[in-house]
Amino acid sequence: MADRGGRPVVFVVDDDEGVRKALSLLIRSAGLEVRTFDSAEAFLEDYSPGVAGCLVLDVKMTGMDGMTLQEELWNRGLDIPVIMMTGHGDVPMAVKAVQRGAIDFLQKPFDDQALLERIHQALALDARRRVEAGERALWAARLARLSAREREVMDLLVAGMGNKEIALKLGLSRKTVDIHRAHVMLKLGVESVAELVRVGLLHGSGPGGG
Amino acid sequence: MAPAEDTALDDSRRHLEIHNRVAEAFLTLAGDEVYGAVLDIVREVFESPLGIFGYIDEDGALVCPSLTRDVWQECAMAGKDYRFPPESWGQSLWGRAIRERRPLFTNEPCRVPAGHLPIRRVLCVPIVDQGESIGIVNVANRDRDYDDRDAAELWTICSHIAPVLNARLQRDRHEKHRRRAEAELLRARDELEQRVIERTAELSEANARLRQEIAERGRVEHALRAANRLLERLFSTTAVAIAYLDSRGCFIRVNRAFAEIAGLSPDYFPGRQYDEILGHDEIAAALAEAAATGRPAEAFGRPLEVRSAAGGDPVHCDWSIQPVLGAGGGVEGLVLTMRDVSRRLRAEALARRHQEELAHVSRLGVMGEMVSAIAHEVNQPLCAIVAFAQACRRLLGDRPDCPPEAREALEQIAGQARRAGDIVHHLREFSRRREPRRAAVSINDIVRSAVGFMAPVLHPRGLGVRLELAENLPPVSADQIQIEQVLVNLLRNAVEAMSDLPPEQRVPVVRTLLPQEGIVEVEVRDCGSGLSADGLERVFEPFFSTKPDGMGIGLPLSRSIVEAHGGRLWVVPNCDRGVSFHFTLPVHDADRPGD
Repeated sequence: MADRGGRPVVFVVDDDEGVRKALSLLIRSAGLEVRTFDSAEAFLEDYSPGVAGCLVLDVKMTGMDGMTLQEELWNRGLDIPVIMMTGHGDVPMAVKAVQRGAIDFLQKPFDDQALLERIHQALALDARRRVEAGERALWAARLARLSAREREVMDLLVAGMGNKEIALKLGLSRKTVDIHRAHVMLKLGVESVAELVRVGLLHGSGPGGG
Repeated sequence: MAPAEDTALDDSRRHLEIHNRVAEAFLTLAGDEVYGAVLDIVREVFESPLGIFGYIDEDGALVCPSLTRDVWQECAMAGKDYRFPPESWGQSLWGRAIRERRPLFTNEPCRVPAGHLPIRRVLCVPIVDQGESIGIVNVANRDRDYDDRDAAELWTICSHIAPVLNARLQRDRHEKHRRRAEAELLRARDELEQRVIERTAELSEANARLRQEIAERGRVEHALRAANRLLERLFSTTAVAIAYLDSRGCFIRVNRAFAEIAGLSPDYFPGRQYDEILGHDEIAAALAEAAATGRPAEAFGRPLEVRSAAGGDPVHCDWSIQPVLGAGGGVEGLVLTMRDVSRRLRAEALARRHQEELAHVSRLGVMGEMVSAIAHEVNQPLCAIVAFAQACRRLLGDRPDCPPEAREALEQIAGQARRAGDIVHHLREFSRRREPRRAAVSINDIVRSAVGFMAPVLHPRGLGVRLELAENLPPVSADQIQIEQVLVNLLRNAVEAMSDLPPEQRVPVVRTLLPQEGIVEVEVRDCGSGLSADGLERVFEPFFSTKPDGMGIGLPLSRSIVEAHGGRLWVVPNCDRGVSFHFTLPVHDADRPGD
């Protein structure tokens, strides 16, 4: 689900054709890929979360406006970074958009530098999120390979117990606990108990987790 | 004694005896009985079975009461009578005797009418008094003939009877006259009594009428007094100041309201000149003019200089002068009425200021909203220009073959477009609506005030507004003028949306309610043609209008105002006809800053 190997795309949503064409040309001139939409609805129809990128969005549009689209994306669990564009007088709304997680808002007409900086910032954020998401997926897959008993032993290790305490708690011999611990470390590909604890704390809130 | 002497003595004695008997009859018998009694004596003296003793009445007719005695029963004549008028006498012997005033007799049978007793022989002797026949005595049907001696003897008897009969006749006549007079008197008295009765009835009728008139008059007087009291009360309590002056401008009477304008007692005025109390103002001049010409005068809203009033605001009055004309057409007096309109003028000025403010705010609002909308529209192409120019500079500017002037020009395009953007931005800032001046106000008062301002638009077209205002609503925090403007916008739209309905159905409804704690909602409902789905969506967009001459500013402006107040404005289609606009306003909270 992560990266399909494609280049990140800058999605531009504005109901004004001149603005769409100009922004499209400007963004392409900076060597980035652009796709434009004339309405929020058209964007939602087309958008696939697998595509890396960011969203440049006008606040005021006929039909669904920018604020509503942002809310809709949030509701659908899509966290594509958003840059808001506002006309004059929409400042309070733009502030609200930022409070809801938009990267920034730009007041039209804006400078190319300002826009491109925000776009690069947004793409970087998206890339970072996608890496994090990839890591989360990797560790989840590895954790999924543990048996129930191994998972139990791991959770107690993450909780800071020693072998002796674990053996006592689970009613096992110390030897058996040692064997489980070795399997856990092998399956997760970690080389120290410290690393195991970090993984467990970051990603271990899955099934069987404390 | 000689036989002749004896005879004469006997005759004398007989005569005396007859006279005595006749005199006695006249003395003792009253009425007609005397005639029968005398006749009996005479018949006895002259040995005659039949006889008549009658008298001549006032009309000259012979009346024979003595006939009724025995002769009367034996008489078989038709139409028996004992009164014989002279024309019936004919050539009868007794008639001649009366006319000739001497005794007549015959011993031959007489011609008599049919049925009359047969007369074989008769002696007729008139009773003559003072040369006039006043009666007659007849004797008839003696077994032996009548002779001159008999005639002379009866003549003697009759001449004795004559004065007595005359006296009696006179007396009877007097008696008759007296009776007649008495009867006359009696009748007169009866008549008088009748007339007295009639007059009394008339009098009592007149009396009753009079009493009725008096009662009527009393009622009228009572009514008059009541009317007078009413007039007096009206005069003294009306707010209109009234003064009655004579033609020289001298007060006769003023009412309380008039006296109050001058700050004096009404008693102070009578006998004083107008200008002595109120100064020589235009009314004084108009009074003189009206007195001279007899024409009324009036003026409205004039400032009044009141010399004796105690300071305060200037008094403005409507006044009118009505001359009272006498029968000859001359001016008898002048009625001056004044009405203090200062308060009305002040209220009107206040309302006018309020209206002007509303219009001003409305103009500002409309302008601000237009500038804002234009700014948004213009901003888009400016944004595109900047982006295009900068894209160009990126694409061309780094290439070695790009002339520096071209790069400079592209920079300029972007720079100038940004400058245009700044100008629009400043224009917008400049014309931005002022912040609402909020205060705690009653939403119902705002609604009533807004409907009041719509009156000049609604009333000439016979339109009204139905108000369904909830009671006991808490005050809202609002700028009254701005919210009034929102309501005026919505009401005007509602009325225009219903323009194809007859006026009586063209009634917008304004409703206020408290949908939840802390929020007051106002609904303006029409039953007009409604809005299409597109219209419902776009109705708040600037320059969008369903009206042919609409600017498309009213609703966006109204929404801006409501939102600046922290409320919402929205529209919903009604289930039957038309649409309803709703807006909310926050309830006033004394702890909130700005409230």
